[in-house]
Amino acid sequence: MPANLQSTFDVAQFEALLASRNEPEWLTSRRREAWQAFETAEQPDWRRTNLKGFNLADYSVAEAEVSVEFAGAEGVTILPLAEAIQSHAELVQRVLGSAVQTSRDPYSALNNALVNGGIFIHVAKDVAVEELVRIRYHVANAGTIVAPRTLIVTERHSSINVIEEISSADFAASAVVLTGVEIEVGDGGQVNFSSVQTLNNNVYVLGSQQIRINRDAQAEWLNVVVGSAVQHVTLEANLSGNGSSVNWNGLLYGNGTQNLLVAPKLNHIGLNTEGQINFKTVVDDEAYAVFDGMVKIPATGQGTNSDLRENALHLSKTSRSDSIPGLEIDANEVKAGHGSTSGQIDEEQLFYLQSRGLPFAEAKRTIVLGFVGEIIDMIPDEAVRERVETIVAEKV
Amino acid sequence: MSANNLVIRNLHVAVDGKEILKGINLTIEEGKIHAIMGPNGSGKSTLAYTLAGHPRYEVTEGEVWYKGQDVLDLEPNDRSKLGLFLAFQYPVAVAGVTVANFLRAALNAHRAQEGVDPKSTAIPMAEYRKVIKSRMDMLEMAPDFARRYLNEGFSGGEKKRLEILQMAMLQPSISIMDETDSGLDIDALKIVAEGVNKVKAEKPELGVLVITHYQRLLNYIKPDYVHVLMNGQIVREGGPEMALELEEKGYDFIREEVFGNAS
Repeated sequence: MPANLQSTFDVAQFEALLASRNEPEWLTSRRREAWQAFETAEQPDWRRTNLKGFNLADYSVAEAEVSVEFAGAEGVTILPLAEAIQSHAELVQRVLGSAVQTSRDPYSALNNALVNGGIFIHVAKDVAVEELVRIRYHVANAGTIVAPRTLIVTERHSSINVIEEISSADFAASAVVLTGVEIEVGDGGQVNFSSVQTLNNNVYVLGSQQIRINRDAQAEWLNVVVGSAVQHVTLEANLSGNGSSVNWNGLLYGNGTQNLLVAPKLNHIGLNTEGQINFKTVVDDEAYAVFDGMVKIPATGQGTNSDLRENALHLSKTSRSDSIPGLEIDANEVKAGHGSTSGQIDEEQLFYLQSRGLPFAEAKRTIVLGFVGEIIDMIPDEAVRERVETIVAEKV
Repeated sequence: MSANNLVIRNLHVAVDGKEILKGINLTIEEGKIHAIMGPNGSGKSTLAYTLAGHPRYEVTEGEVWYKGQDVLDLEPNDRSKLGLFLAFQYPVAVAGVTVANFLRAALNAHRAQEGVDPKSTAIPMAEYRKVIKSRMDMLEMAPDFARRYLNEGFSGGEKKRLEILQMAMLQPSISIMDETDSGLDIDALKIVAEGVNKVKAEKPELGVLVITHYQRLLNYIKPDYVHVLMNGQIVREGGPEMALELEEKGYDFIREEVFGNAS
């Protein structure tokens, strides 16, 4: 086990945990494999994620509080993951672990060993659901490590809208959230998924999200990150099916000493796929935000149309952001654009607003809220949007 | 002399260490329309930005008085509250900030009073909607204009009309129009000029400083006085007939009279 992963939970405790869960053999053996991988893994070389002072021994395993709001609709199954493991074993087996890959790093391995408390959503074919499914994972106590997982599988020609918020109580000590989102969009269908992270500024977040988009299917994906002390989350959109598309937006807003990283990866695997990435970053005080993006167009991805945009705003001299927009193209008939900007608030904008009567601080605030508002306005649930707006308003 | 005149005395202004304005003396009278004409590079926009308080323009000498206050001591927002308005030559785009929200914030900033809860001075929403609607109707603007982001993707004409809308909403007592005619075709120019005249008709005490290179705007906004700015100084002053003379003869004849044949 890597040095800073020294943990209070040893094999015996892990085995006790397994015994208490009474799960099917396939899952138990997966958990054991993941645990072994965790124990033998090297500390990952994460130069942009500050895990100094982070020690797993400080935390004990718990479950996040889960709430789901949805009136229900024919053809839509929403279950606690623990139940779906029994009732939808085949689907869960297929999708569980697609984003959170045991081999990736010790935290992913631990995530798969501990995954507990989560939601499974299945939409039958030809079912279109307008109503928003609202999932909220809430970390109630400091000193805990939780590993909630969201699984969504839609059959062909069906559609659903889901928002997932990860929040916490306002405790002063820290906690750990191992997150995972694993989504499969059936042929010709659509999934709109919003992930909103509003944890308090002492929590560590480590995890992965993946959406696999099949033939002629679409995804709208939103990632909003305003909370946590440290976040390291990899994101992956796989345009696996021919004619599939994703419209992907995101926001990172860090202040204080927050260290927020997303690593979005867009894979144009099928023919004639379309992908748009538009992320915004704001950093203030001593915060450090990282957008580690990658667009891959393998030889199979002929006819790809891809665009990646990332704009960062620095509100203090001591804040930092890194933007790494990567592009790898192995197909010859593609359209691929990317661009990133990074800078301070435009002096001309400030002067323009001031010249209309807005005091300096309000002018600055107006510009920042406008910059982030374009993304925040996309949050489909009013209550969540208001929570994010409140957090952002306190930051500016 | 009325305190409601804007008085500029011996104003020297430098940009990046280079002196652009070299001792401007000018009084903008309450209720009058003044035109400042001059060739490119004469310092017209420098004067406009300096009066509005742009941080890049460094006043090295001189003073500007309005309503008993030394304008140069005030922040740009306080100049706005005092009643100064600058219609920008190049209005600035601000993404994510709608025209309606911005104008409400600007109005509320004007209504705010020191030591008073801003909520108690803020314009009630219903009243605000009525005001902005009536202003937009007056300027013949489509309602969806208010929902657009500030100058984002606006045409040249739309930008200038938004400047006039802002002026109509904020009701300044001195309005500086910096090359409002630049980049406008004749139809757009007429609409913008009409807007200015309507605002002026509603508020006759409004003093206006029209800054322009060409005479054509002055066909629609009739000046009481014309001042010619050249090489950072006001070199000629006269009535409206001077604009026509300049149009006919160009700036060269003045340049020759003032600076000799050298140029």
